[in-house]
Amino acid sequence: MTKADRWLVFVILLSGMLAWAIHGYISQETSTEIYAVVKVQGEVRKEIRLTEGEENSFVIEGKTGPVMIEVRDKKVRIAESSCPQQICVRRSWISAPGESIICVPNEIVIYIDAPAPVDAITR
Amino acid sequence: MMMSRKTIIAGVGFVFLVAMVYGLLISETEHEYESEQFLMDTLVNIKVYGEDAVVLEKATAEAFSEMRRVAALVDRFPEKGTSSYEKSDICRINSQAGIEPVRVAEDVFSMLKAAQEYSQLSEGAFGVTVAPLLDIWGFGKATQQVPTVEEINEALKLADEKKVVLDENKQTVFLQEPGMRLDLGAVAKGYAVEKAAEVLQEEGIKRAMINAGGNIKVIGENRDNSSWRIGIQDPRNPSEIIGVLDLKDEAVATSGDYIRYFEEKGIKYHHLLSLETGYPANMNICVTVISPEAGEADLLSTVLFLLDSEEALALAEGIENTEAFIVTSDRRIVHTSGLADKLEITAKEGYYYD
Repeated sequence: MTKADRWLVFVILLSGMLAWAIHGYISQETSTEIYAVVKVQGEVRKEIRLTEGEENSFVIEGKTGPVMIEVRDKKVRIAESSCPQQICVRRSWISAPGESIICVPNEIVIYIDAPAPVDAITR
Repeated sequence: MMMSRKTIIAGVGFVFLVAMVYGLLISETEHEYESEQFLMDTLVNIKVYGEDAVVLEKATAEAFSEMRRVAALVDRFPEKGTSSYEKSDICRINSQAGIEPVRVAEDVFSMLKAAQEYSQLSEGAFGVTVAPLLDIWGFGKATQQVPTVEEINEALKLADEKKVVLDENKQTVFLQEPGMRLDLGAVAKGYAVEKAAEVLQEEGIKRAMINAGGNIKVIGENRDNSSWRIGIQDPRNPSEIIGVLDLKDEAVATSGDYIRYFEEKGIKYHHLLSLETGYPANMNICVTVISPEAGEADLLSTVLFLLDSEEALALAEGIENTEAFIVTSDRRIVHTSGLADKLEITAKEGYYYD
């Protein structure tokens, strides 16, 4: 191995490490905040950043009528819904990554958008 | 200080190298495509992985249309005279009860055959002739109520699985008694998931997950060549998970008392009705079934729910490659022996298990 060879090996190793570090830094940057995503009939209508102490509620028009969504202390729920069986209202608050509230009659989905501990949930 | 040309070239080369390696790190030869639609009274989510984004999108669209096709065949509630009514084999069978046999699609015939087999294994607790009973309770309709004892007895008279005549050669179904009606709610969703998985595999998809409101089928392995991790929801606290399953090329479905129910005078009544009593079965809180086939997982989760947990476990142990996880009404967690290496129980206080 000549001196130049050794330099080459060193430079390649260094570049690899640097690239790894940048990659790690960037992926970390994008995963620190938690959002609740509200979809109506397949379209994203709202992305709510979940923060401590935040209180907010709003009404969104679903397929069968109005649906009131409430945000409080890093949690989200459907507080009132125009649907007959109220399955979505009974689902109550969600806050953990991977959790979701689904209102079938109104075609509304609310989910917590962050890396989840499991790939799916059976219920 | 002037930099030598060599240093500049080396510097530029170095930056270039870093960029290249970084590019390699973030470029993934595998794409993910995810899509969801409201179908069969639930949200259906399909996630597929592969190298060709065009193939992924096309395969997913075809899987959804396959599910819509199955959904149309078994829909029990379209209005008479509409095209949805004409397309529904279940509506046609029900309208010809006591009149004549009806020729049906292969899908409907095979769902009914499987259901009939499990009805016998359940010794009459489960049956697809449950429709009149579901109707008097109001499940599937806008309002629910506790029916009178007389109404229940009338509905139970019409719930006779022996009077569902399947003719294999002619592929016909005949309900012998006028007023009898079928409901395939316990099997259709799982069957549709299985058909959708078949479509994906025909399109060459090697890695995918279909989730129809908790009726889940996974194809192949998870992204990092590990198992798919499927959580079992805590039936009494929806933000918790009581168990995690490691699955590959398998399906899972859960039947529980906590999703579709109503309250009257402070008492909860859920939709999993026993044909022995006419009332919601009360021996279990939820039953999760793991099977290679999504239709069987769905069907068996309902059948086992209607049985005493000991009978349910014995039945599941007798079916090859099929496992069951049961939370009984006294909050005991029991499961089949084969599940031990795929299951991690994460339940905390409030549940009992060995």
